[in-house]
Amino acid sequence: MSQMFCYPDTPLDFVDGVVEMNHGSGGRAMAQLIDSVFLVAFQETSKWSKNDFAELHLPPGRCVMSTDSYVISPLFFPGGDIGSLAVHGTINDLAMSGARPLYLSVGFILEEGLPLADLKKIALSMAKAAADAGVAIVTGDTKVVERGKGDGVFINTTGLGVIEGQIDAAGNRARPGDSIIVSGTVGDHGIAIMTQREGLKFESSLCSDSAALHGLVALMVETFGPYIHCLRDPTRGGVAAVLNEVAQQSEVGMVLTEAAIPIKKMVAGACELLGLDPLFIANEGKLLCFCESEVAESLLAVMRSHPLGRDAANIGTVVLKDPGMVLVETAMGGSRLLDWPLGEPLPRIC
Amino acid sequence: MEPVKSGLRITISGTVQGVGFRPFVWRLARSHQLIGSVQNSPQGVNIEAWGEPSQLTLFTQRLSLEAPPLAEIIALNSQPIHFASPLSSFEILPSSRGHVSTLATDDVALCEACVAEIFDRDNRRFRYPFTNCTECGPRLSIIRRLPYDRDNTSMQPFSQCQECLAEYHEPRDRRFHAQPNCCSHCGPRLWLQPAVFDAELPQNDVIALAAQLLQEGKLLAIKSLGGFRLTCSALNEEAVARLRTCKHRPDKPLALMARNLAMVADYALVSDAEKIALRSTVNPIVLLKRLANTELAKSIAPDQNHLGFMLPGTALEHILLADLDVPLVMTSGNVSGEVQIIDNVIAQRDLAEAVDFFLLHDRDIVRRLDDSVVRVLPEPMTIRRARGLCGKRLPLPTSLNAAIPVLAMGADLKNTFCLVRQDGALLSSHMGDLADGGTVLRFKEFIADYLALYGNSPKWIAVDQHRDYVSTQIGQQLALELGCRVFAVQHHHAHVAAVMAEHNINQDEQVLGVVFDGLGMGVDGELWGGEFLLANYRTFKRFARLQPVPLPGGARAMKEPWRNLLAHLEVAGLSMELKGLANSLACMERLTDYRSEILLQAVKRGLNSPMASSCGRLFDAVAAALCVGPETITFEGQAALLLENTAQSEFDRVFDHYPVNIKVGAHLNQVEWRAFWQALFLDLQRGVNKTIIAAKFHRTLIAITMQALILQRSKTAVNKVVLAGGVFQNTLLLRGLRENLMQTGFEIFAAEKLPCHDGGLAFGQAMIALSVPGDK
Repeated sequence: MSQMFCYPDTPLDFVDGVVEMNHGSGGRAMAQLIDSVFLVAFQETSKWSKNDFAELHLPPGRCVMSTDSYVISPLFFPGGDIGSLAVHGTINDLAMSGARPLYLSVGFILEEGLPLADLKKIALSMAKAAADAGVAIVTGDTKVVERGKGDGVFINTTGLGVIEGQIDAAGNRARPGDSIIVSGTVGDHGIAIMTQREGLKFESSLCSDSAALHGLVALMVETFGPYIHCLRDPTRGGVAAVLNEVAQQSEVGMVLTEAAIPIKKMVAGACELLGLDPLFIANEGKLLCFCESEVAESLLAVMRSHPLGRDAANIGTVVLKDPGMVLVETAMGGSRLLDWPLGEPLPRIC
Repeated sequence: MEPVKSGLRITISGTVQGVGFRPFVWRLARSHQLIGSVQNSPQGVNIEAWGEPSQLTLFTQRLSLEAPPLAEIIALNSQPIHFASPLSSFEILPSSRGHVSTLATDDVALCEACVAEIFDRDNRRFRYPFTNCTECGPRLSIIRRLPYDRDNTSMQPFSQCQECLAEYHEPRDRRFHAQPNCCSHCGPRLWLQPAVFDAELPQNDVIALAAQLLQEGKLLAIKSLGGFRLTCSALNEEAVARLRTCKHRPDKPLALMARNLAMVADYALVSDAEKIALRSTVNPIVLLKRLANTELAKSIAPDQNHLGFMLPGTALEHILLADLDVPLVMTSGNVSGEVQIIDNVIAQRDLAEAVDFFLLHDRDIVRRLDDSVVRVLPEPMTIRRARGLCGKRLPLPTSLNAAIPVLAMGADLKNTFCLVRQDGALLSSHMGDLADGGTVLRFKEFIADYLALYGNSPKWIAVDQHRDYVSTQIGQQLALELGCRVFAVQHHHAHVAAVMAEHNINQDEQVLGVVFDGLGMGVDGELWGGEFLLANYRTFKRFARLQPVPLPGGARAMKEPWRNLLAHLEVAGLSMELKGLANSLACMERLTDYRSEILLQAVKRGLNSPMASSCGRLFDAVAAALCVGPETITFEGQAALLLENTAQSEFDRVFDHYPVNIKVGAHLNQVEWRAFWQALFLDLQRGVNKTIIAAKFHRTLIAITMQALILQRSKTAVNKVVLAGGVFQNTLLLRGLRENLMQTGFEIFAAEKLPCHDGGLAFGQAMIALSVPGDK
C-alpha cells in the first residue's frame, strides 16, 4: 500500500527533517507525509481510510457529537503532549453526556519548520491514547501554515459517541440539594504546563492529569446514572468556570467547602507562591458531578474504586438561594465569592 | 384695641424630623402668642402661624437661630397667608404623606437627662435599657420608612402605656413625640441566655448578671443599637484570645468601651478635643495614644501605639458599664467574611460556638450600622463613617448642578455608596469588603434599602473604571434593571474629587492632587497608586507618578510585604548586588531562598506580576526591609501601620531623607527608586536604628511630594493641593506634608469628615458624574 504513489526521491527524515510548505500542498510531498506519519500511526488501531470521509456504524442509543481544538505550549509536557490531550479532551467532552465515545476525526494545522520527529511523536501518542481508550480515529485532514503563523501544531478533533445507559446529564439540571463531587485533585494540568513553559524550578515535579474519563463515567452511569444530573470536565477556566456556568444555567446557588477540595501539596504550594487560585486552573482528567445527595456517598465509593477517581471528594452543595452565585466557605470560617475567571488564570486585584 | 393679625406659611427642609423640632416650634409659637399649626411633611416641616407682625418676624428669626442641636435646616421659605386661622391656639398636627425628601437622622448617644434618669432609683425608668427622649436614642437603626413616625419604625409593635402616652402627647415634655418612647411596662424586653443549652437564668436583673459574667471572663454576644457585638473583659487575656480565635482576627486591634473618661484615661492619653469627640452625640470609637504598661490584655492591640476607645452610647451600655470596673472589648458580632449580625435567630445560629451567653432583646434592628471610628489630630480624621455619621447629608459644592439623581457605587474594599439628590449627597454607612461572600450577596439589598428609604431613583450610576470590581459589575446590573446610564470614573480622580467637594472647591478651579493608596485601575490599564494629578471635577491629567514595580503573585503581594521588597530591588537593579548580604541582613535571608528565585522568574516571564505604581506597596517594601511586621499580614495596611509606629519616636528629630530622584519626562515625571534603596541599604548595613530609617523614609516621601508639587506649580501656577488616598491615614506623613506645604505657601486640603481611603470614594465618583455637562 505504501508503494502505490511516486514519492519524492528521498524518504522523510525523522531525525533532522522539518515540516515544509509543500507538505500541505496537496501534492506528492503531502501524500508522503500522510502515508509515513498518519497512516503508519493510525492504521493499526483505527479504521483509517484515505478517503475524505469515513463510513460508520453506530449502535443503538442517542448519538452525541463534540468538537474541540487544541492549542498548547509546550507541545510536550510531563504527563502528555498535544496529541494525547487532543484525544482525551474530545473523549471527555463526549463522556460528560454519559456517552460511550466511538470515533474521532482529526485535523492538523502544522507550522512550517515543525520537526518531523515531533510530528511523528504526536501522531503516535494520539494513536496510543485512542487505542487505550478503545476509540477509532477514522478520518483526518492536514494543512501547513507559514513559519510564524502557528505554534508548531494545532489539532482539532471531533468525536462521535452513543449514550446507552440511563442518564440525562445537562448544565441546566443541577437542583438545590445536589451534592457536588470532583473526581480528583484540581489544578494539576495547568500548573504542570505553567511550570514547564515558564521555566519555574520547583523542588518537586508535577505531571498533567490528562486522561480519558469515559471509563470512570461508564462505571458511574452503570451504578447511579438516573441520580446524576450533570457531568462536566473542568478544563479551561477550571472548577470556577464550570460551577459558575452550571449555577447560571440551572439558576441555582452553590456553596463549596474549601477544605474538602482535593489538591496536591505541590499544586497548592505553587498556587500560593504564584498568587493563583487552584479553582481557576485547568484540568484534563477530572470531572465534576452534580448528583442527588442521597447517593453521594455510595457514588463516591464507586468512583474511588476506579483509578481515575481515587481522590474523588464531595466538595459542596447546590442551594436554592442566591442563584448564579458560587460561594466558597474558607478554611478561616469566612466565605468568598467564586467569580467567573478573568481572561487569564489571574486573580482579581482590588 | 385688638392687634392686627397677619399669617405666614413657613416650609422648612433639612434634618427637622425626629430631632424635637415640632415641640420646639410649638413652644416658640406659644411664647410669641401665635396661633396656627406645625406638621411634619415628606419635605420637612410645614408651619402656619398667625399673630402680631412683629412677633411673627421674631418667631421666624428664632426658628433658625435656636433650632434644636440635632436639627439641620437646609432651606426655610415663608409666604404670607391671606385667610384667617382655622385654629384658635397653636397645635401640632399629624404628619402628611407624599413624596419623601426629608432625611432619616442618625442614632444619637443617650443624653445627660436620660442618663440621670436611668441611675435615679426613684425614676420610673431606673435601669431601663431602652430609655431615650427626643434629644437622643435610636433613629436610622429602627426606621423602616419615612416619614419618621412610630408606626414606620421597629417600635411599632410596642404600644405605649398610659404614662408613656401622656409624655408623648405633652408638648412641654422631653418625650413629646419621641417616636421610640417606652418604659419597662410597654417597651422592648432584654433577656440573657446561655449559648449552648437552654438553661433558665434568673431574669430579674439581667444586666447585673451580664456584668458579673463579663467580670468572670465570659464572652457575650450583645444585641446593640446597630448590630450584634462580641464583648469580654479587656483585662482578661484568656477571654480576649478566645474572642480573637473565634473571630479569626489574629492581629487587628480591637475596640474598647470604658464607662467614663476617667477610666479611658487609665489606658490612653486623652486631649480635650478627643474628650469632646468621645462624648459627642455620634458616640464614635476614637483612636487615642496608648499609655505604656497598663493592665490591658496583651492581645487587644499587639504592637500598636494607639487604642480605639468609645464611651457608653445607649442606656443598656451605660447600665452595663456602670456595673463593671473594667473596660470591655467591643467588636462587631459576625463570623469572618460575613456582615455584622442584626437578627436574634442568626446570632444564635452563627455565634453559638463563639460566645458563652447572649444578651438579647425583642426590638428589631432594621438597618445594620457599624461603629464609626475617628481620630483627632487636631484636625478631625474619619476612619470609618457609619453609625451616628452616615445619616448626615453632605452638601454639594455650590457650583455643581445636581439636577439629576446619581448613584455612585464606590469600590470593593471598605465599600460605601453614595446617593445624590438636589439637596445634597448621602454617603451610605460602611458596608464592609465586597471580597467577603456575605457582603456581596447583601450588597444589592443594602442599595435597595437606601434607595427606598430616601425615595431616590437614580438616572446615572457612577462606577469605578476597574471592570472586575464587584461594585462595578453590580452597578452595571443595576443600570440595566433601573434603566440608568453608566459612567465609569477613574479611581484616583474620584479620590481627589471627594476631598475637593468636602472643601467646597469651585467647579472651575484646578488642584494638584496627590493620591497615595494601595491600588486602583488607571486609564492606561495599569494599576496605579502613587499618582500626582492636575485635576478639576471634570477631568484630570497625570503629571507625575511613582515608578511602577511588579506585584509578584498579583493580589498575593498585598498580603506578603516581602514580595514587594523583592520586586523593588529587582527593578532598582540591586537584587544581585544585595544577594551577598543574605547572611548579614535579616531581610535578605528571605529574598534569597528558592521561592524568591521562582518568583523572580515569574516576574521576568510576566506571570501574574502586573506593574503597579503603588505607594501602599512601597510602604510594604520598606517595612519588609526593616523586618517590621509579620511575613504575612492579617489586615489591610498592617505593615504600613507598623512602619508608621516604628518611625513615630524619631520623626520629629529626623529631618534628613534619602535621595529623591524625579526623572522629568515629556508628559509624565517619574519618581525613581534606585538611589533611595541604595542609601537605605547602606544605613541597614551600617546598623542604623530602624526607628531612624523608618523616619527617614517618611521624610523621603514628603520630600518627593514637595519636589513634584513645586515643579508643577512653577509650570501651572496652581496652588491648591489635595491630599487623598488611604495612605494618608498615616498621621506622620499627613502632618509632615501639611507643615512643609504650608511653609511653601500651598493651600492644603485633606479628607476630614469623610475617610481618605476607598470609604469616601463614592462621594468623589458622584461629584465627577455631576460635573459632566449635558443631558444626563
